[in-house]
Amino acid sequence: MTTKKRYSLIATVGGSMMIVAILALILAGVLNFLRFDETYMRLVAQRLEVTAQAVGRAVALGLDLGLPIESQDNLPGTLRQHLAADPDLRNVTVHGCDGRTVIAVERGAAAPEPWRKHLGEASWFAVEADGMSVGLGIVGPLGICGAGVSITRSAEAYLDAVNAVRHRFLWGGMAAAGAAGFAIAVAAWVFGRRRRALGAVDDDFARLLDGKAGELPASLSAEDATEGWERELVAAYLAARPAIAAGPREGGAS
Amino acid sequence: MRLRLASPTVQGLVIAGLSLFLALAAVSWLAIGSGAQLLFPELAQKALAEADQARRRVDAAIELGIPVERLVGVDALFADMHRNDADIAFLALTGDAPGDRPLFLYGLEEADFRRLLAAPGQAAAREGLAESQRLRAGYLVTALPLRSGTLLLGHDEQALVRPLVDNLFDIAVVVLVAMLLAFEVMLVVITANVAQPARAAVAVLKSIAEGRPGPVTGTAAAGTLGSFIARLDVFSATAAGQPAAAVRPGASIVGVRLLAFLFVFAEELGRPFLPVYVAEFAAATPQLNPNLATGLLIGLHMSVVALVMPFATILYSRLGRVRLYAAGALLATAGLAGTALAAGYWDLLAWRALSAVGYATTFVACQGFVIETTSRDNRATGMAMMVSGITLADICGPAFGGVMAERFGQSTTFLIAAGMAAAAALLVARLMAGGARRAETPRHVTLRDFAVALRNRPLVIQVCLAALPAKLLLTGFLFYLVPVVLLGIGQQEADVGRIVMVYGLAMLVGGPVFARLTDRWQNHAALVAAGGAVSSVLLILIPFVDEGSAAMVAILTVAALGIGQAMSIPAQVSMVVGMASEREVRQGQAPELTVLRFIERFGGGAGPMIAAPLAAQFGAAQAIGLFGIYGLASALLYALVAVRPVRTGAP
Repeated sequence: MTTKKRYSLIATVGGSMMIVAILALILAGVLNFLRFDETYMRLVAQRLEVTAQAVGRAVALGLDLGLPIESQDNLPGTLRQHLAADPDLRNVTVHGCDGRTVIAVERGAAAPEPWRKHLGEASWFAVEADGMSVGLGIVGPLGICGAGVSITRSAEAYLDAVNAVRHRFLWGGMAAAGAAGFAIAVAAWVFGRRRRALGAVDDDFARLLDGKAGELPASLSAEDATEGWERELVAAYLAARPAIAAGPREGGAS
Repeated sequence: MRLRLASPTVQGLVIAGLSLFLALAAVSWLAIGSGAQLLFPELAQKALAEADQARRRVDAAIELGIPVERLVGVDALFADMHRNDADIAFLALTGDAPGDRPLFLYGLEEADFRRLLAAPGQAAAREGLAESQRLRAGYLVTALPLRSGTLLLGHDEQALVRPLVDNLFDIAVVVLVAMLLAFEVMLVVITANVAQPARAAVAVLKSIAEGRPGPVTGTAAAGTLGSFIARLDVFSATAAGQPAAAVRPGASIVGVRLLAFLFVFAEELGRPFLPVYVAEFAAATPQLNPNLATGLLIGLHMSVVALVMPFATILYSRLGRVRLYAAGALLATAGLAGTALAAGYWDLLAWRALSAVGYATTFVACQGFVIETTSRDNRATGMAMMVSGITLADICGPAFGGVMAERFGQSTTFLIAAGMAAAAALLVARLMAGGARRAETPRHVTLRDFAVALRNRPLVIQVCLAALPAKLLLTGFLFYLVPVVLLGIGQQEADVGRIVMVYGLAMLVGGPVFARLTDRWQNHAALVAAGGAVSSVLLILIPFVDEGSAAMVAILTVAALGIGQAMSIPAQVSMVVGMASEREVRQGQAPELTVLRFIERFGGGAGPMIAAPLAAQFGAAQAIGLFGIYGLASALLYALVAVRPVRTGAP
């Protein structure tokens, strides 16, 4: 029973520490992953915004000259130029303030119209399953909405990066948890190992009960105790030892 | 010291703590390394897009016939680009001849720019770089040819990993909380499995030494201790020659530390963002002044705690500590979950009040547990155990809550808090188990206490000029105005949490130091006055601080508040204890102390209720200044009225 209890103590100590360690590792991993995701999004948004602003400047120039967007003949060429300059771009659109598409240049299949959810906003960034989009509202010469620009890029690169980092975190986290688990097992073993002063008390007590009482062993001293409870126990044992030595010895059979 | 380091418990904790720290450090290092590698191609493409746009704009001017060296507005172009992307470090335009002086250079000194160009460039070192890009001396340099000359745009390479490095602060908070939690759990495990059986064995050994064998430990333990206890029980029973009764080791006081930690931690998680969370509900409610409503709701929590405590004390003797704590923790769980899911201001008001009832009830249960399981000789140790749990929660709660709120949202953080309170309810039966040593229960405040206390003029001075201002500063400034100001200038919840945490750290470090000084100097009133002045003087400067340095000044101000209160609180308690009769203090029944605590709690409730209208009327920073003036004026008045020179020399 004693042995079983001893191992259960080591298991309790090690298990408690391991649960805390795993929770902390999961939390740290999730926080790191979220920060990576946020940084990636910020970079993508900044890159798309640069192009959106350039298109926006061209549109605003025409509006300032009194040309409605439908009449700005140079716009399709400008949009195609931007689309060609960045192979990741899927779609560059100039839309009206009511959301209808005025000019759109696309690579591959026609993209959905993400700007419809953001009409009236000065700038926006949206991530959908099929793409990441940035939009800008363009103010006309009268200070009211003149048009809107929307740029969409494929989410493939983003999903690849997220998957790569997820795998690395998962394996790295598992390796860290394994290493921490091993160290915690060592810690639990250290915690559960025999204490010298207490061991001397136990040995002496067993000898007394077996009728082999002799002089007080030199190793039996409260000074050797490493913790308060152990010191207290050794001192109490030393005080009770004469009474134990004089008492019944049947207990030794245990 | 040798003794403690040799202890297997300490060694085990050190090994486990170090391994946990290293594991978390490894995960963070992996995150930074992987992040930088995967993010770099995106940074390079963003840099290329930005450089290309700049090139188009410069070329457009050159096409109009303006010589590149006579371009106007390149500085505005750089300012515009830098405003849109803070990672851009410099912009340069150079002539066609290599080695020419830069025609335009912004963001870098010319000598540094020349050194940078002379540095060896790495193109193939990283994937994702375009032909026109090089890594030079810590910058990603994109060089694009103009119609005449070259445009060079530099991005700080470190900017890429900065958010990931910033994340290390969040991870440090996780490490701190995990280590403390592991320590608390270990303390409970060790006490239950080692210290308590050992204490029972000591009791049996004492009986044997006194010639009264018979009682047995009635407990099982592990390893050598278990083997010793098993023999001891058999010996003791055999020596008595009759069926033996087990000694009752009594409840372990250590459990109260974890229980106090859990219920305060749950409540503190919302600390860094509660004012803005409440303000959103208040603003959405018609016919309600948002500022007043916010202050009222935050103050209400502390006022309800003060009001409920006397009733909880009455319930203590009827329900017992375990059921009272469990009931309180369940009420807090419901209150915190309701706070997370509230649909409107009035809902929120009710849920916060319920949460306060739970807080007060669990507090009284913990206090009663300490009183029941300690004697007068070790009551201070028991109370210190509870206070240390609360202090740790005060330190970890806001920081951890801030991190959670920033990452997962404010409502989710309240749900996590509800989970913590529920965990406390589940653990109480185990942690508060065991027999009581005495039938004492916590005492509640009565009208007689007020009559006694208010006749005591020094106590009235103490309450009005020291205790109340201290509480008003704590709750009005730290709990209300600090989050409002910092979140208002764009700081994140995690930053606010870490700043609020500084108060707890300052108290933790300063408390023991100033307690010793209080005992040594024996001029308590001077320390109370000095503490009041230290905690409030920096507040006066806040209205004059610009936004850029607001966070740093906030840290200093919160630290000063913590240090000031660490100076004044032990001295204040010492003075009030000196006003009461020794017998009543020893019995824990001094009306002076009871009234002081009661008024302090109401003062705590009033803090946000005063701060909110002041902030609405004058602005949050100015409100902090007014709090500072009030605190400093109180301290000076207190110094005039209460401080007496210390008599030196032996009587």
